[in-house]
Amino acid sequence: MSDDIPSNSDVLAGITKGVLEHTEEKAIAWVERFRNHELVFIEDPGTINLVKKQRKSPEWRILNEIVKDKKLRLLAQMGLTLRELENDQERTQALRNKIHHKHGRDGLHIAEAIQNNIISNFIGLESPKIGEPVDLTHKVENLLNNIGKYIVFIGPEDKEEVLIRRVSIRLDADVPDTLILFGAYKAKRVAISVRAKIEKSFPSYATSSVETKIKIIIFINKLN
Amino acid sequence: MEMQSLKNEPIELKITILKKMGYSSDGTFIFDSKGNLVVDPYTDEAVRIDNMVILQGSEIILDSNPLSLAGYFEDHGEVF
Repeated sequence: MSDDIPSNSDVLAGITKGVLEHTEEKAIAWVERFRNHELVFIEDPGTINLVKKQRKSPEWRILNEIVKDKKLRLLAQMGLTLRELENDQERTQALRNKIHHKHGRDGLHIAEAIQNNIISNFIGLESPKIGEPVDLTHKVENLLNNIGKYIVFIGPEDKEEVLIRRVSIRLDADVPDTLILFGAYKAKRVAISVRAKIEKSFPSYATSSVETKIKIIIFINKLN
Repeated sequence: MEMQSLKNEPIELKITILKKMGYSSDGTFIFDSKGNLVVDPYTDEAVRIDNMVILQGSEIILDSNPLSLAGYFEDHGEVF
């Protein structure tokens, strides 16, 4: 081989050096722009757009005015995001796992209550009865902070008799102004049966409901 | 503010960026200047280099997921 022609290893070393220098220069330039507040580093623009979209939604505009607690606001936004991702099982599950890991079962239930329109319907029912916005904030935040006490999420395997007992005990013991039942798919039928029994046993409470083909939200409200 | 995506950038570039900012990486996770694992405060999970975002506000490194990003926007506003 002639002295003028570089060997393969020399060429490779040259390329590697060039790539490293380019990487170094690019990193320096980007970090400088970052430090000048000209850019941020992101991974997937889709995730950012998804979050921004929820924060611009009409429902968030209402929740934004009512929900003031930092953790509840975040979980409310996650509820809207879960709704948006409903057709993407993998991303929905990944987000549910993160919510559960950080905020526990109640946190996930708060997000689900937003996702399934329970809270927006609750606000719609309560708003006309409430004078000051601060009272609505208190009422909604109290519901969310005590979600296990005020909302019964009926699972597909839940037995009707057990649920009737559970709901009856709660109405007798806590005498809440509102108790909410939520059921989807198979659990929707169970929720309807529980409602019928509760209506008979508790004349001091009135029920109303909002339903779609697959879901039902039943409000059990104390009569004044 | 410009959003610079690192999605299709080589890991060497990501590691170099982190080094310039005083962090390090083992190729999977990220460590601060004291060698502590960088944990996303909005998820309580370690941030992976293949899914990180670096945002303004004392160089905040988070995982790229809706919970963390919404948390950031709540705390800092939609600055980008």
